[in-house]
Amino acid sequence: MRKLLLLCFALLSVLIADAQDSTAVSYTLTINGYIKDLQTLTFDKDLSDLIAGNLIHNRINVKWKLSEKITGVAEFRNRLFWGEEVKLTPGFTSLLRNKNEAIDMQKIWIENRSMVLLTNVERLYFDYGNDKLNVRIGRQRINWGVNTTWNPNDIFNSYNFLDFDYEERSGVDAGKIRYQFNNSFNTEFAYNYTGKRNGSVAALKYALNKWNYDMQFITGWYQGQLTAGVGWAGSIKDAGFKGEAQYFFAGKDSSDHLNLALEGDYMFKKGWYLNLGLLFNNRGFNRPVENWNNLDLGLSPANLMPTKWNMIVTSTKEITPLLSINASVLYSPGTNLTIFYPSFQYNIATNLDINLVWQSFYAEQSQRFEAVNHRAFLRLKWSF
Amino acid sequence: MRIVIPIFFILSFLRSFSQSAKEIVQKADEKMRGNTMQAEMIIKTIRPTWTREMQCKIWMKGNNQTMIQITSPAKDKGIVFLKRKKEVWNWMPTLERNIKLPPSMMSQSWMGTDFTNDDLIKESSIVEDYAHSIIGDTVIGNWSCYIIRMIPKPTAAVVWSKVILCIDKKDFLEIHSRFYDEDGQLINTMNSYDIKFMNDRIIPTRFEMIPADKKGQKTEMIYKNILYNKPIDDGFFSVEKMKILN
Repeated sequence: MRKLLLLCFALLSVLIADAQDSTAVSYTLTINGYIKDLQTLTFDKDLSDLIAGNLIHNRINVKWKLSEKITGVAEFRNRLFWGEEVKLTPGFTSLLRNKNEAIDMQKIWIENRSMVLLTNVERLYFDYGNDKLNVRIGRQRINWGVNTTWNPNDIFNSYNFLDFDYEERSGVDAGKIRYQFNNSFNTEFAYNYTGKRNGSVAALKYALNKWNYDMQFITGWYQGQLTAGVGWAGSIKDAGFKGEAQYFFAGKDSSDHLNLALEGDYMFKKGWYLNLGLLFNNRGFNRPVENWNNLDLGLSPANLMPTKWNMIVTSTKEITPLLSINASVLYSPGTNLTIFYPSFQYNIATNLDINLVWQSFYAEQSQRFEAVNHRAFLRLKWSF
Repeated sequence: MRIVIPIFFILSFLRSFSQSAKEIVQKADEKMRGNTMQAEMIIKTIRPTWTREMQCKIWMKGNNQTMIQITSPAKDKGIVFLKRKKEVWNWMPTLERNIKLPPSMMSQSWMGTDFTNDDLIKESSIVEDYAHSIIGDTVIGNWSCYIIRMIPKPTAAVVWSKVILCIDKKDFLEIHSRFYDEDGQLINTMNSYDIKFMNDRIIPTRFEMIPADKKGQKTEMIYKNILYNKPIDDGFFSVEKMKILN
């Protein structure tokens, strides 16, 4: 920990020394963010027993441009939860902590039986970049994914695709260095520190653009396991074609693991968009599971879904430039897990949006295909 | 995503009418385009019951390289689009991710009209693909114009059956354009206004695109400032650069 901080400071002083050489130094500070109000209703399988949740969610992003080449970024996420959901969920506050973050930068201001107010520093990094080289140190998100829904190549920080209210997704405490050889070839090395034994991830990525395809090759060390991956984004005729595969070699205490995700998308006339996705997780369940109420979809980079085969169809239609509807259906054969996920978005005023979202979960339980639960969300978002 | 369509579209028309009654169209083309172009613009989507405004910066080099960065409204600020030949990428600042868009995105309907954007990418070939002829003269406002008809050649994959342009005789400004579909129906009309001296030349600085069958609908594009022929390195039009434009 101390070593890490020391390293950060050492690097920073080098960066700042370099900044002084820069001729056009402009100090600019930009602040933006949003305030969201999210009302959640969670129903049991028969749409009867109801739990209400309330969340006021604020994000403040601060970007400080120290020079042409150096930027400092701090992003704060403030959340106020109250109501039944807080009361009825055991260990509610502990669920809010991102366990990938080594340094605890979360502050709980209020915590009682039915209310929690907390702030987390979601990003805190310095970035140095010139035409070829880019170095970023601190809390950041390392996005190596290519696909929209499932990202096996995202080995530093996975996310739950059902968590639509967390657009930025979680970060890690890490260092990243990228070198761009030319317009179509670059390489990147990243290391994240989790503070846990065998918890760190270090990997190297080569990315290139050829034959109208973006391609990437990843090799690294994931929590004590050797890993290798490949990803691409291109097209077949007018349809987008993307894919990611990541293999984790068997380690001393762990078995091998493969995640493979394919995706195709197409934009039809009159604003219809269609996206088809497939995920294969070789360690996933392929038989009916008894207790789906414990379903956790944000598992880990090595385990993006609890189920073996997963298919998702997403369709979006822009009714007017202000109103769009979206519907996703996920199906996992074997477990017969089915998720129905429609949503509406309406732009009330320039920076004010309203979303209505529904999520229904179904699965085979005790040899019967039935609902597990349903969730409804109403969200108002004001951006500034 | 839809925001980018009218920009690509309008821009591609502004720079693509080179030929035929050729020298005239070519002069008009050179005027609007330059070798490179950097501009800040406002785009207004106007509907009978509402209006939305967006601002963006744009960099263009030749026919194949375009970068667009949205600077307002707040909710879209920092979104960047890069088009390099046939590939299009979209940088989402909130996600901190680059998303590659399917080629079919370019043929989606434009702002809720039936107007597709296919020509956008194919636009550069409109020069070879059309036969141009002067069919008359007209006066639009203070501008005395040539009326030029462009008919696609039989081999051309163009969505229009006919395009009519009105180009000012003195300064070679595109004052008015009409786009017709395969049935000869008028689909879109483009008008140019606010002719001013910008950077090193006189150009129209406000354009409106009006769909024929949608009453009360139009899209307006206004140049706040523009800079021609300032060299832009090819390295600028890269996926990495998109991330650090802000």
